Amino acid sequence: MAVSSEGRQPNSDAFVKMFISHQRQIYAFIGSLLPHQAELDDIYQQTCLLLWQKRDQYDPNRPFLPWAYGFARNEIFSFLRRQGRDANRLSPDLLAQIAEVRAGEDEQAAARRAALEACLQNLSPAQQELLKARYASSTSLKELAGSLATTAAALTMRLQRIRQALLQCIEATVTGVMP
Amino acid sequence: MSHDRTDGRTTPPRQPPVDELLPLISRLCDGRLTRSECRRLERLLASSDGGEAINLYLAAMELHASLSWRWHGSRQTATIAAGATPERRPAATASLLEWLDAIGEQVASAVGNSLLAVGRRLSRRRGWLVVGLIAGSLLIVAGWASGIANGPLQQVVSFLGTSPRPQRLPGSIACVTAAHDAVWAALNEVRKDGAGQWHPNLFDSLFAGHRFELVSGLAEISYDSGATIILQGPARLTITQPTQLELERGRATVTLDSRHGAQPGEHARFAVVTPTATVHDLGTSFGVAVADSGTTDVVVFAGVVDLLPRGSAGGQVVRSQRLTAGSRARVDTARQVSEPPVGVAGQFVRKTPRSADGVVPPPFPWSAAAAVTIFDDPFHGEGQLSGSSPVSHGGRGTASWIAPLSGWRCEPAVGGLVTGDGAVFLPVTIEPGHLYRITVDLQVTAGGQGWAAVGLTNSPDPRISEFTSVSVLQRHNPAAAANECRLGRRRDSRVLATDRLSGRRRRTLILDTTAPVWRVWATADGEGWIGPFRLVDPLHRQITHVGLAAFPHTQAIVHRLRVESFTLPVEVSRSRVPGSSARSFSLASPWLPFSPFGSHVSPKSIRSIL
Repeated sequence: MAVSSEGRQPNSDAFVKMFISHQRQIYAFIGSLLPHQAELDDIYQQTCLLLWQKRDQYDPNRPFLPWAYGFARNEIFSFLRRQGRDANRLSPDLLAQIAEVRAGEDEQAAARRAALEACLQNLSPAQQELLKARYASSTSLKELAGSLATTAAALTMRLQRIRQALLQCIEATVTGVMP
Repeated sequence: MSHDRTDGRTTPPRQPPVDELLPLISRLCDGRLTRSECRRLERLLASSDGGEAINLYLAAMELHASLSWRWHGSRQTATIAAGATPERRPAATASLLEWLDAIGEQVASAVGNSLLAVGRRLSRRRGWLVVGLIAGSLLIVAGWASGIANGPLQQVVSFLGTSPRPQRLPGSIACVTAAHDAVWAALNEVRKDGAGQWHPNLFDSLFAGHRFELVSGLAEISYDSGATIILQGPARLTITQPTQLELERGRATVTLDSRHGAQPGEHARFAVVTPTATVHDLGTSFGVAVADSGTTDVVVFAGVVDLLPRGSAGGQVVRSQRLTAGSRARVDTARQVSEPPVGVAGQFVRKTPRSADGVVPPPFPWSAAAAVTIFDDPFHGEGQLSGSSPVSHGGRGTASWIAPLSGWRCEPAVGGLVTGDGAVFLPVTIEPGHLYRITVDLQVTAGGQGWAAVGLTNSPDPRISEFTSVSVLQRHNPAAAANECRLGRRRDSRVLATDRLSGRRRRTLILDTTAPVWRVWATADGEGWIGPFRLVDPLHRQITHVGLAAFPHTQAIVHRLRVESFTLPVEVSRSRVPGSSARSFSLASPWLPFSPFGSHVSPKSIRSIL
């Protein structure tokens, strides 16, 4: 048992450890419903805060992720309510259904994440660079296309092919079937 | 998944139309999905075969989020490890605890007991929430307050126009909550940046041991313990303990929050120590005046106090004297107690005059004692600015001004820097994990349609007509109809509705780099805050220079420019693993809102708070 510093909540340490080891899952959970980078960052940040605020309520004897997902889910859907209906976004009802499915699929998600690193190595250096450019920057796809001297449509297509290749590789790794 | 049909036969699951789904999901990830495509994706996901389609969607979105985390979200982790050697850097998923373990004794010796000691002093007051509205215009400023020891991190949301309590730093025990014509003098305190003397500012957090002088005017200091002190200058004092104030000279009125008051017979909740007496407050309101000689006058306005002359005089046994409401007493340098004239009571200010100009607390905590001055340029020099440095002008910071245009001159006759068209820059290194404060005293003097501005940029081009690449911009335009003080870029700016556009104004920008998305607030003379303005685009976080600008055909006087930084505290606790000599660390910083557990925390920043 860890010796807590004086005056700290007894379960703070346990909470901190659980949070640190699960923060990527929480990020991924939110990302599965809010793909837009800025929204994902914002809601993840809000969720982190909320979890920190509620850490006293965390019971170390219960699974951490379902508890954390509950807060993330509330943050997501209150955000969606604030935003109002957006025609370029999946409907809240459908997202709620997806969230329910996603919350029960942590093991599969963890396996896919583990497979990703190896699959990234299968990409060509150019593909890896493109992915990095896409995800390391918050610039719009149009701006990124401009900086790469291509069109947004062409860039979308290239990213789609890379994602498809990665998904096939991940699926093959997870199921043990060579692509 | 299989689907039962009504005839009882089962069929294998239908494969979702991958060739159609994947492009749609990919376009969704890239923000390129059209309205009709979105409806099509909805139908595919919601169809009777939607289970498999949703699985495919989740696999694709998991990939998207993982890639995003790898290159975007995990930057916080990379930053955490920035101070570690590369081989010690954890993978994106590695925990901070592992990293801290890798740092091992190096961190242990650096942070251990000092921070634990800080932790023990932490405020036990919980955070608070203030919500208000003014004139139908809603302006949100957000920051954080906390009580680490037993209070959760609280997000503080205040709306302009209320009188919210200032943000507080963990470990501080009091705060300057009001100031009225206050002129402070620095005493023998050493600032974190080695600047030596400092004095508090309005809304600064105050820590035990802080000593300062109020030369003139009034100031209100609020203790966490519930005591509110109205100081009348000239006064010299030390914040000694959470429930104690040492008054060397001057006049102070103490009011104790009734919730913190002691019943008669209980221990005192607050004490004022003077050179000749100690006044124990038992839940009341009283005044203490200390003359230059040390003679102490005490007047009780309400409740009860115990007055104890300090030390024995002439071998006499000193006894405390209980004073009730309406009574007064004087302790002279011989420790003799007498009754002062009636008029003494009328010399105390019992209610803090609130200024009518709407000065509101900033949405972040600050302490002048812990701030580091990067640049301080009072522009006391003379001649062309270009190539000179703040040091040349009697300030701090050795970097040279970039000011190739001739209009920028130090003119002692006007008490500052005279500007012309164009911009000037000072190189500055902005790092994650800090609050930066850029303060400029600015006055536009000529140029009907022009404006003057302070900003941050990554492109020090003196000829630009507006800080096109600047991340933030606060500008001062006396010719505008109204509300031309803006924060932000041209197409994404916010207006400081309370701004006045004439005269000399203190423009302040705050850059908060403690979160992955850096944030900026601005104010003019503290009369309301606008922000946060979020620097979402990484390009806008590549700040390399602080800039001043004036366009077009505008003249202004810049009286002073200051750039300060402040590192927010981090709580680190050390644990021993039973049965072994190994230690583990847990780290929590309630001031790092993105991840309380270490975003932007490097060994350097940990050491910097010790």
